Amino acid sequence: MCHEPTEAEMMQSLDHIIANFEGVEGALIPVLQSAQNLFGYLPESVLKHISTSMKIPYSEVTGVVSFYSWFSTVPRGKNIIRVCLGTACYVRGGKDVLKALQDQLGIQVGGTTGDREFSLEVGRCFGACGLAPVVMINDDVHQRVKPSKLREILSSYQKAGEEVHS
Amino acid sequence: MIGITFNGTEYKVDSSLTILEAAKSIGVHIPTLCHLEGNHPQGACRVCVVEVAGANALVASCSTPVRDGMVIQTENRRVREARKTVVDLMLSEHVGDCRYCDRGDDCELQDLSNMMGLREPMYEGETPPSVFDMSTPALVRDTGKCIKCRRCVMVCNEVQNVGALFPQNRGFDTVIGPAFTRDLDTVACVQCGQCAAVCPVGAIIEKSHIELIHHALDNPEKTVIVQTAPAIRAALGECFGYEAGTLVTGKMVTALKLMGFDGVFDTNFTADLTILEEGSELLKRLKETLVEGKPAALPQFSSCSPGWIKYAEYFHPDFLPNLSSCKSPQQMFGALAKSYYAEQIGVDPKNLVVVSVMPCTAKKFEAARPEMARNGIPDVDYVLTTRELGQMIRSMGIDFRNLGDSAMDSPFGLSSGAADIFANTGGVMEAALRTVYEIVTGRDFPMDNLHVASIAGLEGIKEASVLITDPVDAWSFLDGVEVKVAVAHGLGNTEKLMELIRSGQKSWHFVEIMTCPGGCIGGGGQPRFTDDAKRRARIAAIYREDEGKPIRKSHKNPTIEAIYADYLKEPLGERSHHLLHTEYEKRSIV
Amino acid sequence: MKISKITSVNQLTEIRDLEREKRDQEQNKLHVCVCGGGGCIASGSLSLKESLEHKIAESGIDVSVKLTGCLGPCSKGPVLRINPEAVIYENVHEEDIDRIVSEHLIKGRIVDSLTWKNVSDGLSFASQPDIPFFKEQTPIVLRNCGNIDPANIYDYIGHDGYQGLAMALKGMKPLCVIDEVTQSGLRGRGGGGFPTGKKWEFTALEKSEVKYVLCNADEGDPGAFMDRSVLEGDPHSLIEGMIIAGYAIGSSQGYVYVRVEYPLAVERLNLAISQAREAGLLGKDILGSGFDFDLGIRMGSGAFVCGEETALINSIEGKRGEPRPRPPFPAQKGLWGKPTLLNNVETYANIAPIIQRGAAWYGTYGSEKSKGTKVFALAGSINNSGLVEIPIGTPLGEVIYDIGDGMKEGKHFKAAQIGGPSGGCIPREYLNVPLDYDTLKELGAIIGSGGLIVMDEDTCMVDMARFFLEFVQEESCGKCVPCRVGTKRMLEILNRICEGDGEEGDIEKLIELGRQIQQTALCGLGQTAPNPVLSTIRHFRNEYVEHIRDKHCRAGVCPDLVRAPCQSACPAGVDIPGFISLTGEKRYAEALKLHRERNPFAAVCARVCFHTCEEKCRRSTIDEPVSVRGVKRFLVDQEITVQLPEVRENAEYAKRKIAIIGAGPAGLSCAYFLARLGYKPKIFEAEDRAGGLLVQAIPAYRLPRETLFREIRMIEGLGVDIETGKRLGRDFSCDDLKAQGFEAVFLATGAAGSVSLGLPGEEGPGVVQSLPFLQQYNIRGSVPVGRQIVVVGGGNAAVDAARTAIRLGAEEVTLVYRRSRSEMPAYDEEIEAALSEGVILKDLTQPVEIIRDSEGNLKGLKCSPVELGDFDKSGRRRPQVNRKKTLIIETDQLIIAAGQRLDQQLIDEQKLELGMNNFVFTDPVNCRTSRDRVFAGGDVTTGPSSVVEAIAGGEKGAAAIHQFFTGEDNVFWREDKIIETSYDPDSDPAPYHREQIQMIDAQRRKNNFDEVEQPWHEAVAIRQSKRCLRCDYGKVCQHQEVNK
Repeated sequence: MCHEPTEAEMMQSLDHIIANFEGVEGALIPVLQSAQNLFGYLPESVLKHISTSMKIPYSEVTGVVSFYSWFSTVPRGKNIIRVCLGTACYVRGGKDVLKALQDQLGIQVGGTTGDREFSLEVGRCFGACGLAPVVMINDDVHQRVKPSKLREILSSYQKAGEEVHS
Repeated sequence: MIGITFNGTEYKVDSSLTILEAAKSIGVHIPTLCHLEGNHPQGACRVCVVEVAGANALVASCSTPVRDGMVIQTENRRVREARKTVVDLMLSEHVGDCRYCDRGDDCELQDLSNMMGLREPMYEGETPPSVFDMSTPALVRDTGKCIKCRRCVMVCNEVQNVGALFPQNRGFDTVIGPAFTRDLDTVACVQCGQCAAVCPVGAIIEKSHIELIHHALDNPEKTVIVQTAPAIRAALGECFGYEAGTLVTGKMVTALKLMGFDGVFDTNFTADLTILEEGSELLKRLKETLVEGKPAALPQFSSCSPGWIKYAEYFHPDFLPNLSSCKSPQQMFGALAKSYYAEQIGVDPKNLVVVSVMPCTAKKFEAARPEMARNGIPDVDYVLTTRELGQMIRSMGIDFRNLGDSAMDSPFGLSSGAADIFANTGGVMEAALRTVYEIVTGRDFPMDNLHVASIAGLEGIKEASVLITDPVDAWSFLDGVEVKVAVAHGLGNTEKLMELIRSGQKSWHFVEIMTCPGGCIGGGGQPRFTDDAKRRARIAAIYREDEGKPIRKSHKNPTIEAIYADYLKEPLGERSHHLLHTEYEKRSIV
Repeated sequence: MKISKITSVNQLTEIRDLEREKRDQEQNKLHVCVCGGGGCIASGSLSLKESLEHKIAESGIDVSVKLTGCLGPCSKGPVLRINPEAVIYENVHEEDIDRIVSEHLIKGRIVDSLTWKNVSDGLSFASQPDIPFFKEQTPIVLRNCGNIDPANIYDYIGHDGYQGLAMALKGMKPLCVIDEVTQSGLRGRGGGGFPTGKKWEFTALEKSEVKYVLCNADEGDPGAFMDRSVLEGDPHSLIEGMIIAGYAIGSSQGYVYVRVEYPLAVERLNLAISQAREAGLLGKDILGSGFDFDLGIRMGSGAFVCGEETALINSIEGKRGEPRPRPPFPAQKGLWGKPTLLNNVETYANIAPIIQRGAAWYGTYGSEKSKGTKVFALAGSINNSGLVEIPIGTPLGEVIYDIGDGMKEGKHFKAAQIGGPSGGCIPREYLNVPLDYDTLKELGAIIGSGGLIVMDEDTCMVDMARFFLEFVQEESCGKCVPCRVGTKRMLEILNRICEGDGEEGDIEKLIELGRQIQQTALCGLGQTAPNPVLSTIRHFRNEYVEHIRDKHCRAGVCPDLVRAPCQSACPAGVDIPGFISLTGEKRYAEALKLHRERNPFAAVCARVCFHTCEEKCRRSTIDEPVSVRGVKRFLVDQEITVQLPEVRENAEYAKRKIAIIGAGPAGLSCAYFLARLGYKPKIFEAEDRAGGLLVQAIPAYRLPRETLFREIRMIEGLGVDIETGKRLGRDFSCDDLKAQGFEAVFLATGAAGSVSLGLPGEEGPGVVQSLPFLQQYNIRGSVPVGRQIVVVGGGNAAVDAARTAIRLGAEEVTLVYRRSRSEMPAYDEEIEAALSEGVILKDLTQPVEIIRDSEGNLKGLKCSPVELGDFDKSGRRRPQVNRKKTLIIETDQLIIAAGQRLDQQLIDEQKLELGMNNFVFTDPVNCRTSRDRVFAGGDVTTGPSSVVEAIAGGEKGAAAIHQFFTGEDNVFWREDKIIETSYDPDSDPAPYHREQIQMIDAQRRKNNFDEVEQPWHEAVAIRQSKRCLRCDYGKVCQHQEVNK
């Protein structure tokens, strides 16, 4: 088992990130992006820390965070499922795929399963329109997905997780 | 100057103006709900759209500069229909019942909707999530009513540099508010109420004390007295249709008496007292530094403005020792009322209710600070804004315009002209200089009509210096010292001033800070809508009041002399320390 | 990779020459390019490359493999190309690698099974230059994509990379550079189409020490991915364009704003920037010119509005990505208040070639007002989806059919959506329009960033508009009222319409609100947000009307309007899942009854229906559609006693006198439904037998007469009186009927007029129209038939005539059709059957002359071949006759089946007005004609159409007459019946395959009129009915809810 960084260590890394942007104009968004990569999401403690360190009002920091859909202030699942609802995917049945995923996982868009296995999100075009409908799970693009294929796809991720655990 | 055509007529206008400003300059009214004078245009409400020949779409007049030869229609079918649609859409997401709204009489949205002749909703649908927030002592937020014009955001961030309010979320879910759309008490808000002053609708208002005061007045066991701040007299008239800058001191006193207050007093009185305490404090600090070589906290900052106090507690806690320890005039009044005055009239302080009328919402917060109470009894019980007072007078059926003049009651009714000018930016400093100079030199303050011109007016940061020569013996160490002072109003300007101090670019002995643009006359509790023209008019009225007074220096106020003789003994004395001075606490901003 | 600093133009050129030389040497050596575009990576090209390298190493051959940028045809991925022959292999998988290595790389033999195949015509091509997809393209922006290794700056330099920059720095003043760009006619490729040179000039003219060059790579339009391909496949072309721009406007710092969803693009761009920096092409004193320029990357965070320039600037400044009012324009006050130039990736990628090869060269591409090329992202229901670059002004149809290889699964083109959420759709009437800025604008669409989504008839245009509005509404920044609230209100109206709660006036409201939003919104996103709605209303208003008025979604998409897609597709609205599942439970009587709730002609339609239900069947997303007609065919054969539907006798209604003119499917259906309400209508039929075209035109081998008569008798049994031999216009008039006390007349006379070819000699002997030909045989029992027969036409009538002629002893029957076979309106199975019975098909053949001998006897038909030209209003290619070539088909009987029209004289006599389609006008809601109390339905109003549509027209007429008499808006059979069948929604779909309908062998059937199609055995039929996915499961009908 590899060493998982402690909260304090991550905060220290965050300070490094902020320090790297010292004096750089417009640094808030890159700092938030790095922070999200670091923590997996943007907890309040992190946002408050960014606010005080960068001397940007807290309300403004959260105002920026809540403007951009890529930022998340709640923890997400181990696997992020993003169903493309870009035009091509929509025309080719992306909506049905999304509905089937909601039914199978028992969560709505933006939700995370009780076991923290999966989070379900919607994307607007991943630029893979030729392969529509497309579902991205983490960094893998699944192409021409049919509702009937979902169970199989999801279980491959669950299995992968189980193997690591055992 | 360039030539443009408005609605078929040619005009010459200044080339640096926007269409909206140009229209105003020639007397053409274009409605707007988001524009805020002196700030960069937002273009958010789209109510100010006009037709410009050659443009495909309508253009927002607030953000479009005039061009030579521009042909503009501010009113035709196309413009009217567009504006109607925009206002209609705004109404469709505005959740509020006009019958139960604080803004019944001065709601800009309702005005506009009436003006456009909207009589039934054209587009109805889902309304955005709404938050009702009563968390702070001074302000109430109801985001359901918010039309997202963002004036409050501009004022809070750019004018006041506080940053409590910001747009949260995106699109239809946008909520203007504190982080995570939570309550205002979860972020650093100084309660200045400038947001409430610029809000076109009832989305942010002061927390009303009217009912509480009615209860007190109705209760025969209570003795209820009222104090009115200097800025009220120059603005209250606006609630009754008077021009800005009309002094209504006498009518105001009559009205308050008719309302049933058992004593009508002037906060000016404690303003004079403040000058003596604060001036003495300054002299003491100067002495400590110059004679005793002790590191004293200089510059000394004025402490009358509760918004500024809270701002310093949040953002400049390291400068808290520099703040004058004097309570504000409101709180000095309360403290004296519940001790000295209660004793005099033989009323148990528990049964004495002190009401103040303030141009300010932060005063509600100040009155509720735990350190502003003794033995669990607050110095000041309730605070009315100017607007609330106007509303209360109206609701009690008092015909304000036809009232005669009355004078304030004794003993706290008499004040100097120096106290009057506490209402505007530069006034506290000028009042202090009038007294300190005379104490130190024994001579009259050598300024034209006692005014310090360089610290008057609406410039953001102002400076003055006074060279002390030939002081009286007690202050001989000040001989040849150039006392440097500075004045800032609006917290944005204050922040700049702090930066000058922190960076070492400037060093002053005494600095006056007023939270609101223009000082208290532009306070968050004043009649809406306050622009620079109104600020100037109110300030001019205050100076007139000062100049009309027989006594124009605080230390010359005979009641002040008396109260020191009878009760307080000396400035900074033990009783003063106990009653009139306070301490500050560092506050966490997140 | 070691990169040394290039300090002068000469040095750059030396490197280029060296690289070229190296390439020339290697040119004839085998090497493999693996497509590393996003699409192919998603299809597994990375692991494919690894395996390939591994296998090559194992085989010990000297073949290099490189990963290139996107080759274009994403749907064929993973794609690889083997040079020097440029052989393209598509859909390559791990298991194909052995063959590629052993066959192609070692033995030099092309692996045929992997080469490119057109889906539309099945043609295959080996070499890239021969493939239509590539042949028709003009790569300027994508010049290097798929050719170079994006991770290697030297590969780019070797392909003339940075030569444009060198030319600019060496010999051109900044103003000359701008002038060249202006002269080229390049317009912004991000959406607005603003002249690029102008933009540069404005920024250059601003006086400021600091200026910025920004690149918008926040390609957020759903359905657009061209910028991604450039960033991933040729990042240096963007960098070079930006440096040139910096030089031209006097800026030394640029930023690329890339969306966070493109991690690979960010990675490759980062690498390219650092390589360019190492090479001295970014940084101080570039190529020794004294000019400094550097680049940074800023990532978006998921906000579409940041594609708007001022919002993008705010976002780079670390703020909420909300647009600012303009003016001031970015050219005056942009990033941090400094003059700023902003273009998108594709625009910058055009710059280097323009500088290097000149504005004049660039101007040779494109149309007059829109120069150069444009990259489109082709997606949707099209065979070749992917990236294509074409000269601006190329007609849409060519992109779809030539490059795109036509529609997927043989569906019909309905519309193309161009320009994403700011764009609009182009319906099939406009397939010829040149794709350029101005033409598209006139049609209410825009080129936008180049997303081109092709849609077939399965797309609901209202739902499409709703989709885009939902997108814009989600992406609205919320700053200005019209966009924040206005689009929300529009979306709410559209949601309502799609949910079946649309109201009269909604369309007008949408238009009004849309126009106001266009007028008043703060930024481009808001101002264009209503476009997809306004554009679909403009071109597909009917679909909105159907959603609102009829609560019907013709595409079968809107869930609340569609109980099941098959039922929605059925013009008669038959409860298909209901009767299929009842059949599956052997409850045949109930199944038939259910069918007859909406369509009396179950047995007829089991044989002749064109079954659109099967086209919409969701089972086809798993394997193939349920054979609805096959199940029905089995079902109707189980009918022993006639299954009558519910009839509500009503003495009052029985007294009303209703006349129906014409006993075809429309008239009979109208009578049937009226009778079920308790009316006793009377039908007047001109011929001796009732049945209309069912009996007159459809041959008995398709529809046995007894089958038809049984169902007609059933209708008569309900109290319908049919009087034959009574012809409107000859025996009576509408006025007569009124005089006889008929209170309502339903006109269902069909479209019996024939269309002639308009050729000389058509009038003489030997030439006959198909309808009289069929009629004569079907009604009289015999018709003269020639030996060598030519039938002209491509519809069912033509095929029926041809097959009838064969059966009547013709030796040779040739079917002549001017378009291609795939465009023939006749049902495919009919054409197939005809061909197997020996009919010769000559498609793409146009008759030009009828040849007769001196006695006037028919000798032959002279024809010319047809080439397909541009697109006509129906979206089909217009046949262009090549009169230089002719052929003569000998014939002694010519049967013309060119179409049907109204019997004009008859209509004129009855004083009926015509509608837009030149058939009898009726109000779409109440079926009323221009004459009082005269209603109409079927072919007489729609023109020649299908049996089931005529049946539906009759049903509508019955409901309309009932409403006319009683004011009642509803008829009982339209309420959904709740059918209790067992169905487990959690079960997996039944694993059976679609079964074909059996036919008698062609040799055995071609000499007689025995029914060709044979019913299934019960076991087959039951298995087939179990294939139904029960899309109707869990849906409650709206009518029921209302009536509860």
